[in-house]
Amino acid sequence: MLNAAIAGLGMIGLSRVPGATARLLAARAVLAGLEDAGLDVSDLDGLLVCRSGGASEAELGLNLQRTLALPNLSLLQVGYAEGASSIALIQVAALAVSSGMARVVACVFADAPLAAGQTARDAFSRRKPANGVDSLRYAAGLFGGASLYALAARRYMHLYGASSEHFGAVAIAARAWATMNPLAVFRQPLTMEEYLASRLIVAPFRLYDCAMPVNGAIAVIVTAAERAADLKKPPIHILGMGQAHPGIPDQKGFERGLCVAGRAAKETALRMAGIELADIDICQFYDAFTYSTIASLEAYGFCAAGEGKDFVAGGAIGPGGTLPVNTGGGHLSGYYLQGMTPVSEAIVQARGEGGARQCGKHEIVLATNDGGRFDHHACLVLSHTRRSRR
Amino acid sequence: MIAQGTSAPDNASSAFFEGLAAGQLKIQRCGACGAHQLAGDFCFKCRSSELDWVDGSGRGHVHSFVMVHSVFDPAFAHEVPYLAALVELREGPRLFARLRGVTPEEARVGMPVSAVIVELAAGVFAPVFAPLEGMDQ
Repeated sequence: MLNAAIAGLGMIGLSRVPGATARLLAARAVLAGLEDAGLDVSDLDGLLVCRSGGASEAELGLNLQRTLALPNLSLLQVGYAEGASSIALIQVAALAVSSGMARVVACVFADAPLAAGQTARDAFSRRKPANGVDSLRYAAGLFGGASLYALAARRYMHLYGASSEHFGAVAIAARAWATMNPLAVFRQPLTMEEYLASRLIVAPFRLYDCAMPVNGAIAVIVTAAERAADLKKPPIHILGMGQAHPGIPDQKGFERGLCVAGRAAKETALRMAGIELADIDICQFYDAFTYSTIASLEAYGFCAAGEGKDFVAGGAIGPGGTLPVNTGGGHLSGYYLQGMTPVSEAIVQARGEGGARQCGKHEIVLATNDGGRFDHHACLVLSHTRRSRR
Repeated sequence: MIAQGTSAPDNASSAFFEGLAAGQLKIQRCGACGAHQLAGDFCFKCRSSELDWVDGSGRGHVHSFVMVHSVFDPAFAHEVPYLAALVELREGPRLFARLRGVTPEEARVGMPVSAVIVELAAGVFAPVFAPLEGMDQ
């Protein structure tokens, strides 16, 4: 039986200006998370670390324990599931505190892709190692995540008649939320004209279809519900969680780009939480690209296949819409800290700390992570109330 | 011209890359169940390791495509914008490849294509695909 709550949230950096290293950012985020929870370093007995695919163990890894001189760890590991790493590690923390293997676990992600004098493109050009036939992507000139997700977006356009304006609607909704988030990197309102006039990166994707890199770190402190209830901040309970990894090669008949992974994870998470899809008040999806939001809406069943494009075009996901999505601006306009971006905003909303962007209904919040090219998926169902509504 | 790591054969794919160097697009056929795949240690359908390398048809269709405008790698600075695709071979496997002989306006999902093996740089070979008129998908 799951007995886990998020007791602390630490956010450091979130800046497009180069500064501290990933390890230093991670260390500060852990300390900030403990401070937020009202806990001391001596309370910490679990540390779960994840980093960006391009970063090395030397940059951020098990060495974080020594950086912080943590004496009491009974749980320590570096975890990796590409973009799904953050939620995957929070799930491990939830299992550890539920079983009593650890009592207070910090889960941290940090990234410092921006160095002095580098552009966003430089940062995203760092190649992930690819072996065997996977390395054909580089011979084909398909670099970065943008090219692979653009392939999925084009496939979706072909199957369902989506247009650039549909992707633009996602970018504009994310920006509308970001205007109300003091931590968001891009806070100027975005119009469809500006979206359509922005330069092409990998068509069909334009500049505003893609997240921009930031340097920063986010830590989440996980503990048992009873312990969390006695701490400084209201506990945010982990009601349910799931993962899915469709590990089959790209072959005839398989529509990888249509986010099949999310579907299986959803079933597990909703069953564990004892809720139905309609009980979810707010969604925080992994939106490194605009198309990802549409794919997630359809994978989770908020829209039927092919209808996500109309859902977003109708304003449903923006401020005042029927299903608030990525309410801090997401990756696109908020801050791109991979799997921790959806998690952090889910915690903020569930707590009711969203300020100008706070949603009225915030009892149950979904946070999702996607990794690779729709290869890995993980999700959390979070609530300020321990028992579900049913 | 082409940066390191562009062609990185591993155990499962060394025959694939040797095939490219000889101007052939080789794929694996499972001796147990007959499934085709690009390159693996086991058959993705039945996990048999009885895999034979066969000459692929080199024909298929565009599953999806993109037009790359940004220069992510200096080696491609003089190439942008260019078309790249995920091509589905007749036998079933899909692979990433450049498209040639087609304009961005002409490119479409479902377009029949066939492979030509090119030498991108000394010793670095890759398949590129060009439209094949009148071929069924």
